[in-house]
Amino acid sequence: MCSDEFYALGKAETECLGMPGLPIAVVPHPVAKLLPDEVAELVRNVFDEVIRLWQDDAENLRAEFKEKAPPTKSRLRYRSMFEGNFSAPDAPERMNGPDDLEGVNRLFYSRGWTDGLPIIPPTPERYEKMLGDSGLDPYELLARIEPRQGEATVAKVAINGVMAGCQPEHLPVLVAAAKALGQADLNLKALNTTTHPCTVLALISGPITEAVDVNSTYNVMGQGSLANGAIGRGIRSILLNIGGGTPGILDRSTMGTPAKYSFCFGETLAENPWGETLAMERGFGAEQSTVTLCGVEGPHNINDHYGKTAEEILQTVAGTMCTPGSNNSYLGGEIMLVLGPEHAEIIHNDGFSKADIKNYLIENAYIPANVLSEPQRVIMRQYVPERLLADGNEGAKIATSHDDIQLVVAGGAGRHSAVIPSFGNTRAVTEVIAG
Amino acid sequence: MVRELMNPCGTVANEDAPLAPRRQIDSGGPIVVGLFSNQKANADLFMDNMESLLTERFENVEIMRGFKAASVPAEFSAEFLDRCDVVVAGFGD
Repeated sequence: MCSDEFYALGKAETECLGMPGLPIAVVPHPVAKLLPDEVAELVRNVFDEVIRLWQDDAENLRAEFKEKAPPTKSRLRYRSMFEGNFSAPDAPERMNGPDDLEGVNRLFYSRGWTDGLPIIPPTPERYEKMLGDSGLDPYELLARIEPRQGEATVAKVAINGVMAGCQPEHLPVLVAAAKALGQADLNLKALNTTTHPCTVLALISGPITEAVDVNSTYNVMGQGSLANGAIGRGIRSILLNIGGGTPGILDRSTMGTPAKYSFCFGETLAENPWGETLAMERGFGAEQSTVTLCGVEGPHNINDHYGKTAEEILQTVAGTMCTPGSNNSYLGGEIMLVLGPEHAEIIHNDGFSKADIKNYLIENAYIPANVLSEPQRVIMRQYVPERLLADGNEGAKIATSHDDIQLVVAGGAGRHSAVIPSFGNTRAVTEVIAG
Repeated sequence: MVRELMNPCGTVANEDAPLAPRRQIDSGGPIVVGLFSNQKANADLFMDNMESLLTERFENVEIMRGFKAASVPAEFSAEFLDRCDVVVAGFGD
């Protein structure tokens, strides 16, 4: 049962789960805004269909729903998307395509295989060069990528890396990232299908940041670094072509975010006055290279040029973290705080440990009562009742445990930091980068 | 001119499992209908109305309600899976 806007998602899910004939009853979208009498009418209108899907012959229903195509309310941008099944078990590893850059891009775009920007054509030569002397088995299965549960083999990861502009030295990062995408705590199925504007952030830590020149300083989340741009884009390409996260079909994000093109940056000890990166806090050694994936929105800046003490800066941080419309406000979960080195230095020099920062934010970061609507409070009572202060009349905390705050130090000079809200029902996952 | 290109798409299993046989309403004895809500806005109310219509229309229908939090994978109790003859599950918005 779903609204018509979500039939394509449901249809695709039945196929992913190996039951393409599963019957789905459809009601008009939207349902969320309806008043109680309207919901009752909606149910009365669909009731006979529900009974039919229950009582009719199972084989007839199976045949009917295998054939029932999603209604196309909106223009299908990828005109050749359904011309051939390139994900089928017997799909060819190679295909013939145009011999020019523009032609390849037209073809791949029309099949829904790109992010809209030009890609590097994944020729066999470039693919072989990507694998190089890595010693990796191209047929090794790294993970099944949700929601389609597509097989992320080393080969498929390498091909998507080529398309994204990755260099051979980036492949170990993509391989580790692909493994991390398969970790259940990330909740990728939800991240890659939700209406929320989230993406998968890749935070790279350890010696590899220097080895492959991952940017952790100026413009750390912006443009200008090949490694940051291409690795983040490679992960997006994996989510699209292996996971099936096609916008408007399985990727149902209402607003999206520019961070969905690419969101990858590094952290190093050089900028970190506490001598402990997030990866180290998560149990990995300083000598280990890791990639940590987080299901997050785009970043929001924290400008504080005038705070002279840890508490003054953290007060600004707390206020910026607390927006009532973020998923974290009503679902809980992790928020990433990226302290710029100058803010971090002031806070550190005031004697604050990382635990002290988290304690301060748990105690002082709360959404003011005057921006908490009653429906918002209803949801919070359901999911995060411990966060409501005096049932919301004194506001609502944005974090209640140290695990709710992922603390990173990165960026260049300047009095800025950033907060990165998450999807809520997701937990960061980390994989070691081999080599 | 053409040239070879690598296929970037991940292989997806291509199964086509059959549907469970439908137990007919007039087959005798109680029939357990599961109503599973994803708890999106109005989903519970939708299922409340579905429950009312089912119990008004059919004397031998027993309702079991199931819930999951929005945006997390569903977990079904053993009792829910064992007892339900048919399940209406809401998904999406």
